Amino acid sequence: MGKQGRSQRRLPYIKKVLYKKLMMRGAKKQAAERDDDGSVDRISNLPQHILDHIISFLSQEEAVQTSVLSKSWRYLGSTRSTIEFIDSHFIGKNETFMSILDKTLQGYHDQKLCVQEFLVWMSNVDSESVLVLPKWIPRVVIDMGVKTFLLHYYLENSTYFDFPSVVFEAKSLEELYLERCKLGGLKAPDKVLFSHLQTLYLTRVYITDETFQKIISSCPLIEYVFLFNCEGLRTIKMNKLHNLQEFDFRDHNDRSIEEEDDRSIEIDAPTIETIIILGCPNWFHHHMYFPHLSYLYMEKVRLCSKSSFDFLSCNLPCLEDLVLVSCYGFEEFQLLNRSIKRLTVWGMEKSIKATIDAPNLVLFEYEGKIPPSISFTAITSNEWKSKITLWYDVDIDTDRSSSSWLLKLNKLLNVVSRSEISLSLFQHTRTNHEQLFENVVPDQLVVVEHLNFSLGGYPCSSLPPFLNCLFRICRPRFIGPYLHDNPLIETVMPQKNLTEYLCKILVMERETMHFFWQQDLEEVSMEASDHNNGKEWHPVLIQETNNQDRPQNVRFRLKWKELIEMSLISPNS
Amino acid sequence: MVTTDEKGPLTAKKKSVIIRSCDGDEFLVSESAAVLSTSLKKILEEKEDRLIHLSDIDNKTLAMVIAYLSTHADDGLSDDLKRSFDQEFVSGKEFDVLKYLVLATDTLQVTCLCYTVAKKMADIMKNKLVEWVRREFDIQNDYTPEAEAEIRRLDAWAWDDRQLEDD
Repeated sequence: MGKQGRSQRRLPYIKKVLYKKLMMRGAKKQAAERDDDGSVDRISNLPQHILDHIISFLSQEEAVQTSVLSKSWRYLGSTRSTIEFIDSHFIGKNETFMSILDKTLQGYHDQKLCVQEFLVWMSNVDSESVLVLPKWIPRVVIDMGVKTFLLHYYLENSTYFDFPSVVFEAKSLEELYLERCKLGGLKAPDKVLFSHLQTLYLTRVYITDETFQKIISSCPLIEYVFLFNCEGLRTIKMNKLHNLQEFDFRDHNDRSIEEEDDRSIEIDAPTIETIIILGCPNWFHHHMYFPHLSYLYMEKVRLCSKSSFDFLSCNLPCLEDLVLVSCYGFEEFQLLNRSIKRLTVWGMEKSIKATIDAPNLVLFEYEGKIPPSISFTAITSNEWKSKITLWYDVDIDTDRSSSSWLLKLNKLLNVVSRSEISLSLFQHTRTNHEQLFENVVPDQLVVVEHLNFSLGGYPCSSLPPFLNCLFRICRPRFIGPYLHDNPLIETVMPQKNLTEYLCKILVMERETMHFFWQQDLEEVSMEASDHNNGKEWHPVLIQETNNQDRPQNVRFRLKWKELIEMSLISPNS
Repeated sequence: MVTTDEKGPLTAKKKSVIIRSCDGDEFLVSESAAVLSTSLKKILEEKEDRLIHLSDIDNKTLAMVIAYLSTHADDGLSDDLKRSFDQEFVSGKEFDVLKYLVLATDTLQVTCLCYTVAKKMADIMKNKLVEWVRREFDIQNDYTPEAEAEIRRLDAWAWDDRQLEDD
């Protein structure tokens, strides 16, 4: 009661102190709104800093054009806090990109104006006019107090732009984006004053380990670090960073796996949420504890428990996504994680073994050559999906490998049988191993929601043995050719013929073909999708369409007898 | 069941703030939403008051800002959902509505929304002829034709024959 009374008494005080400014602004606004002829200017009376904010989103040209709107707009655009120049806009103009940049910056310099964002994209400049950059960069980063600096420097047949080392003294800098620059010499800079730097984004930048280390150790506030195809970096240490949220390293330069490669990344940042490492073989971490890490992506990273990563001992209580692409150096991995929702394993050349104890998994994605040997324990989520993509690349001559391939697939499907399965198969070699399976007794038949496949340029006559093999181990509810996102692939490997042939086998000439699975097949209907994404399907009548005007994206809905219910109830019995 | 039990006491403990608009209407806002505004956060840190009067923000604008704050304070929503909410939030709004929103977010220091709204306002001006902008926003051209021509000549580089929309 007393408290409430006190707070009510305080109210006028707060109003007075904190909102005096606002009320004054409101009064001024009303006075200024009326124009001579009674029409109300709907924009010019906004406070200048808000107008500055709005026009900061316009291009440099558009901002400058606002100067003719009215006298009150005369200098807004040419003194705004953003400078943004794209050199390609100057093609075919009387004035050159560099002369206008020079003139504009001179204006800011003469009037002692501040620049918050300095953004320059260059791709067509001759090497001589580049000289204007070294003249202005020191003034922009030091005197004009720039917060965001971007230089996208992409000249054909050109080397890196030697970035003035004065940048290291840019105390106000918060975001630094550089492309095709050389940052720092061979020796690390003596001092780096990036006390406010939050984002460091380097693309194709040449930087030595020493310089990078010096920068990182001088950025207590750093939150985002992106390093794309940077040269010169071999050992990256991201240690004792207490604000780092995202670390993204990508090196797309092709290096063979066998090549001796000692490049490494070390991360010790308790706040980190996202880690992406592509193309650096070694990853170290001290405590194996990332309490906030939710997204972990690793591509072409060597994974072995000794040197790199042991998913069992790593404590990742917030991890939701784990993506492993073309990782190597392991045959077996164990994952024990209660928070993980999506597990993606792509680009596996060899067969792997995995034990996964992830009770909250909702999506399991696998792409590789050989069906992995996986065991799931304790998945409690009722609705989870598994997407399995296999490059059906079986050696024709060795009977054993092809039969074991199908058995492995059968085992895998049984393991994931409680999930909604999407199975995509790509045939790479022509196989005709139908007979091989006559004596093979597979496990339980598994219901597969979607089965998509591509025969990879092989004739459609290889389809019946292919289906015979598959229908020994699974029963798809939907079957159809694989829909390529890429139209180019579609023209190389037309799937339309496949649709025709599938239609022939499943519907048209069903009576004349005698397959063991036909007796189980109760009903076949056709669905089409107008979009290439295959998301919206509508039924079409098979008889209505002839070969020519049949829609391109087609799938068949298969209704099987009883078996479906059987395997749904007891998939592992 | 378990989740409700866990959440129950927490919800009860959650503090609320009353925000009053210049029209006199009061809005009940959770403290977690209110503190997303730097200004409101400062007030709440300095004072124990649970009633904050905003003399410069009308009902309609305040309701929109509060809807934004509450959505962004909801831990149950993913960042993607929040982003699409932001897009939805500014799409189709009249320029004047955006103007009051940008003033309110500037006052309340809601940086993210201020950014989104200012960007939306700039989008309305983008790719438009000067004449269109003048007409649309009732800007009185107080230049003489000679003075305007002179300014255009000085910054000739910024003017070109690009196809600009003129509604």
